Amino acid sequence: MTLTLAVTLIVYFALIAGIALWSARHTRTEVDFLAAGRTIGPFVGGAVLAATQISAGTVVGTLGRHYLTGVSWWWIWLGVWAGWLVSAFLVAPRLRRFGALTVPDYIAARFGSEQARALAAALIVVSYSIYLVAQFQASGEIALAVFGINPLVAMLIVAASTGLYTIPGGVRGSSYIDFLQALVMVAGLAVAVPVLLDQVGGLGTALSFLSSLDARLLGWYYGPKELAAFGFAFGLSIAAAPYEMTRFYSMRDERTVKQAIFISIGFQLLIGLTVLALGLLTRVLFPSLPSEDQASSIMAFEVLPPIVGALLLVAMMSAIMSTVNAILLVTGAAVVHDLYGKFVRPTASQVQLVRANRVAIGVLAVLPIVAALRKYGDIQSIVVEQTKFIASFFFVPVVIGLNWRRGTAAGVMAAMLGGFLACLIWEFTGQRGFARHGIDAVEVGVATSLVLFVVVSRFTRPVPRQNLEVFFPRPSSEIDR
Amino acid sequence: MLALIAFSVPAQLAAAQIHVAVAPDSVRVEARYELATPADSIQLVLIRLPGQAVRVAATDGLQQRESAGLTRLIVNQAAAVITVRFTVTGRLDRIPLPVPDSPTLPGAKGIAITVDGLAPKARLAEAFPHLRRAGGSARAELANVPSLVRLPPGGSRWTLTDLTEGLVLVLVLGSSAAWVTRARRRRGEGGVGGGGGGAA
Repeated sequence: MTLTLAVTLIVYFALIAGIALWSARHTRTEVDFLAAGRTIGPFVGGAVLAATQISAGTVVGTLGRHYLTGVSWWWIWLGVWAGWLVSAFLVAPRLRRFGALTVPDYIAARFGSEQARALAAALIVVSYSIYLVAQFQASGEIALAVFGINPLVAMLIVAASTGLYTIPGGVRGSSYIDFLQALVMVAGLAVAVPVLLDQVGGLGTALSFLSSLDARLLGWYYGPKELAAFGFAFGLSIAAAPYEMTRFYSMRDERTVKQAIFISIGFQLLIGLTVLALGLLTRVLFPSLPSEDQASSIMAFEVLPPIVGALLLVAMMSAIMSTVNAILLVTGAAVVHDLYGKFVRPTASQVQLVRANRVAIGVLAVLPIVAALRKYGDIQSIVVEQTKFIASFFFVPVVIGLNWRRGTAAGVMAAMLGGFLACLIWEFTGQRGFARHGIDAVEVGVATSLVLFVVVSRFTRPVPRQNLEVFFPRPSSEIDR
Repeated sequence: MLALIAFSVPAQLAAAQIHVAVAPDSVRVEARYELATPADSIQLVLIRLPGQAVRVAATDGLQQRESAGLTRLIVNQAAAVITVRFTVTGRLDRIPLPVPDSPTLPGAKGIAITVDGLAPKARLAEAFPHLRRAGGSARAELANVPSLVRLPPGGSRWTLTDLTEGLVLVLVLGSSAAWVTRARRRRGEGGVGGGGGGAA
């Protein structure tokens, strides 16, 4: 197994290096680096969106959550897909038509405020650094479970190898690599299900064992309120996720973006079902693992035939690298394009901006490793916390901001800051159990953001007409009042 | 923010030696577990597999509770080492193993499973967990206790493992070939090309 795994890893990463080098040859401007020259088509785009969405949070965290809690966690996918549909119809086409490079670009242009741009960029860096912690922690769990090696070594390898393919090629390189990773993930996960079923001795044996082990595994481990809150957090954050939007910008046109979203949902449906099955079947074969986050790597290494197991481990590392890559591009762009290029050095040349992006990505890749080593919680919990924050400060500015003309610069500043703080305070004041309040931090955060956006916008100066024309083609005299 | 997420550490298993002796009409299992810290009581679960009967040898302080999908073995005595012995009859392709409710210490491969009495031509690649020849026995070393041992078949017929690995190779090679063909066609049409479905 170890030799097969080593050969598979070497072949796979050699292929990735080749794609990155090819992409670097086609990357000369910031648009090339951050938006792949806007050339990505629907199928590659859909696979890229799925690969970006299917992170370590899914392959390690969600599989682990199914291992621990059973079937009921699957229902949060409905929230995820609802978020994608909101994005497909209310967000993505308008953003792509605008043609921005980053989400703070949109915030600055839509609301006519450079301060709002800076705040959005800062919030992106903070919240996505938390997400990076989950990704690095997942790579550490896999390394510990499979090879018994120090998690720090695995984290540094992931940071270095992801940086190697992000830094030269930017979004163009990572889009094609993500496409390859999505194919590997779907093939690896789908093929693993019949193998595990065969090892267990059939579905009937598995279901009978699970229901006797803990009846909640096949029933309702989580109640409807909890699932609704989790689904709400995922859906709202997906609808306004900056790292997904970066992928929209790289696609050819608005039609391509919509097609890509539906193709992506297809990929996600397949992956969601296989991850559910694999989580449950791994629980049957290894009922008492020290950490649910080890379920996927133990399953790949100990249960599957060598080639399939190696492929799935590569898929897991791919998922981590794909997400780390997407986040590094977004946070790097927030630092360089939205802060450095606008406030620190507005006269920087294209060559200097691309170079600054590469330096920022290198620095931002290393910092979350320190937090990952402290292991604050299981991977799925970290991902859930991060999605709550993204939803709380970005859902209203993006989704409502694109569909309500009256939103103002002061309104969006209040919405972002208020949503973020409300979510944070609700968490810190002890709202951890649903039983006490029945209201989750994400619901408080989004509600606060919405109220502040509407109220403050009503009492402050409207955004100038020229800022609205790109997003609202109808005459500005029809401003909603 | 991350500090808000709490986690707990359960009691842990230090090591286990499990011996599976295969005979023509029965299989005898002896499983010895060493706990990192002695516990007043420990529970083990034994998966129930169709078509077979399991007879657990009586031991002091051992209780047995049956349910539809598993048998719970409860050892009510303070001990750092627990040994369970049982015999399986009936269908013998999969042999259940008692899994303690305490997980193993992370990072260590302290679970050793030895299988004796396999046919000389048994295909170990088909076994679960992954077994290796060790003298006249087959042996596996793992980090965690599995719920069963799947004994390898003796013949040389095609198995699901063969089919799965073949399918994976076809998928990987096929999609790579499709990718290259499509990229070449696009380059021929004058696009930027080279990268797959979306490059124009």
